[in-house]
Amino acid sequence: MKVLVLSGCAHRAYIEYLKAAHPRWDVRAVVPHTAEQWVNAKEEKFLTFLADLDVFIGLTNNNNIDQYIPAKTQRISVPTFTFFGYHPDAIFLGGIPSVLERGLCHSRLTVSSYLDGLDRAQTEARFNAETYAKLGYFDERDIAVKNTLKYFQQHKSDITPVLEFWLKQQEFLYYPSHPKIELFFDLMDYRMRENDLPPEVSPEVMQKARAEMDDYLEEGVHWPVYKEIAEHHGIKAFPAQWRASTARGTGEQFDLAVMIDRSMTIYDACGREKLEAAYSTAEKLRAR
Amino acid sequence: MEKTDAVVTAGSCFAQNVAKYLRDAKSVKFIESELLQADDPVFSGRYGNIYTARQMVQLFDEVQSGSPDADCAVLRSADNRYVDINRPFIEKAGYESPEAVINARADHISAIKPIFQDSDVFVFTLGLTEGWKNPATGKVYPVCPGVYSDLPETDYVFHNFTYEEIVKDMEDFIAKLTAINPAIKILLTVSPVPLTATYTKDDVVTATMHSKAILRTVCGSLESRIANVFYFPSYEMIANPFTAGSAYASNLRSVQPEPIEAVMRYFEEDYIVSDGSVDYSASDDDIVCDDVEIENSVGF
Repeated sequence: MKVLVLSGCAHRAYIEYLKAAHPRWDVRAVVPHTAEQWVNAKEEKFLTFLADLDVFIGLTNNNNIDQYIPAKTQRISVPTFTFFGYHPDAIFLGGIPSVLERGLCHSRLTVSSYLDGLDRAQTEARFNAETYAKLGYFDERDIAVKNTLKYFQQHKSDITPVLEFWLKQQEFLYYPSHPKIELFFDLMDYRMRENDLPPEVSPEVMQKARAEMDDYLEEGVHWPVYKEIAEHHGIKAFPAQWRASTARGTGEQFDLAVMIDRSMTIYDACGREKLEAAYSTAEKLRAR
Repeated sequence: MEKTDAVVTAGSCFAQNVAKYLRDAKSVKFIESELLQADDPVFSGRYGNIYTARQMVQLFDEVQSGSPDADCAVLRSADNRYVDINRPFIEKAGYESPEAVINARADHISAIKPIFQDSDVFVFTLGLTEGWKNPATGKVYPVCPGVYSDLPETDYVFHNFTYEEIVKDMEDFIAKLTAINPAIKILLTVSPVPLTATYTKDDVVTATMHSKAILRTVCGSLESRIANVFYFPSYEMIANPFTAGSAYASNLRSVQPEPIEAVMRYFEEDYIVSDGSVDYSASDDDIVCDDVEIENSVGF
């Protein structure tokens, strides 16, 4: 059985799951931009594999690759998992570097305070339960649950059981798009069962594989779950602070005051107009 | 909606704008279960405008039963031809006899069966709370029969559906539809077209606001509680007063073409994965995941 996983940062987790569940399958993975490069370059090894593909998993709505996938191939769509419910203040601003050294994640309150002309101390004073309540941050979990379920439903999957399980866990996400790695394992398991492809090995083997997975996203950036939001939902404030990537950055951990200070330095450098445009676009995308 | 999704539309007259757009869109598969005639309202079948939720449930039940409404033939006063009381303005020439009406209806309900069973997305526009129904059977009609027939007034009565009734009807319809087609997604909209007239004692503006408020609230309630129900805010885009200029034509009822185009652009942007675009999640992935160095491929 020839299987291709097309996915972003989840692909390593999906591969680990599939290799454990189906040891005899020929499972390979590629991230979207590399796949597109290979298709454009007519990479023979890749196209040969696609021509005889049995199962195509992940971001299956990729039109560049679609034309090379045979009609007989089973497609199992697994869209990107992103959950802002515990990170309602986080937002991705295109073209504006993050305080986390890598990526584009920013604090909505900090950006809006900066655009309102507030200084660092005034901005920090805004980070409290009263502000969060006014901004609807405490309601964002329910909205995120609904949006996540709807998004997966659009891909013909009802992941309610998976999400319900993870909402009960004290430690769930490192970052809005980076859950603990076991979530990707559970998600793949669920999608494969939904598509009548359960593991060929025993539950014990799968349990062991799940427990031994390399949680590679832990090494990445961390955005905290603010303590007031954690308290409101009865979960642990995990992560508790901002942290740069230990794998690809300084790994430095820092608190709210440092986050605000460094963010405002970045905003001074990039200019108000660019920040305003990026923020406006990001809020619009987020509302979708 | 993806290019392989089979899409169906039904509802009030405004829904035809969505239907026309989807019919012409190459990025979705618009179901046309019957060949529409030149003057027919554009929907996925020749059922005409479906203004009320009860009418929708009624049609669904009739289709599933496989038996056409035996009382559907009514004599048209203008030319003594028979028409179908459930879609009186379809088949302009009318029919020779009641039997011909019932036969045509039997063909119709058989032909439109796939719109419920084989569709991936069902777009339904709620149009009115006001309707007309048979006091004996409870059957509802899209148009007051007295407008085109000499039916005795005792054969139909005015009924202004309440919020509770409409919610119940819609829940009923959604439950039944989902039971025969579990993967279906239902996209609701509310018609922004105001009432031309009302049979209530209220001013037509008051009646319009009352009606739209109820229909909009019904959509909100359903969308928040039922996983496969979605709402597209075309009503808000057209009818909200917080924009420069009016979306309505000089008759203050019809919607001008430009605002409709704008609404449909939003519709496309938000709901349709077009041939040339990629899934938002895929591009989103690039933004979100660039903080962790990942292997670009495994196994190649």
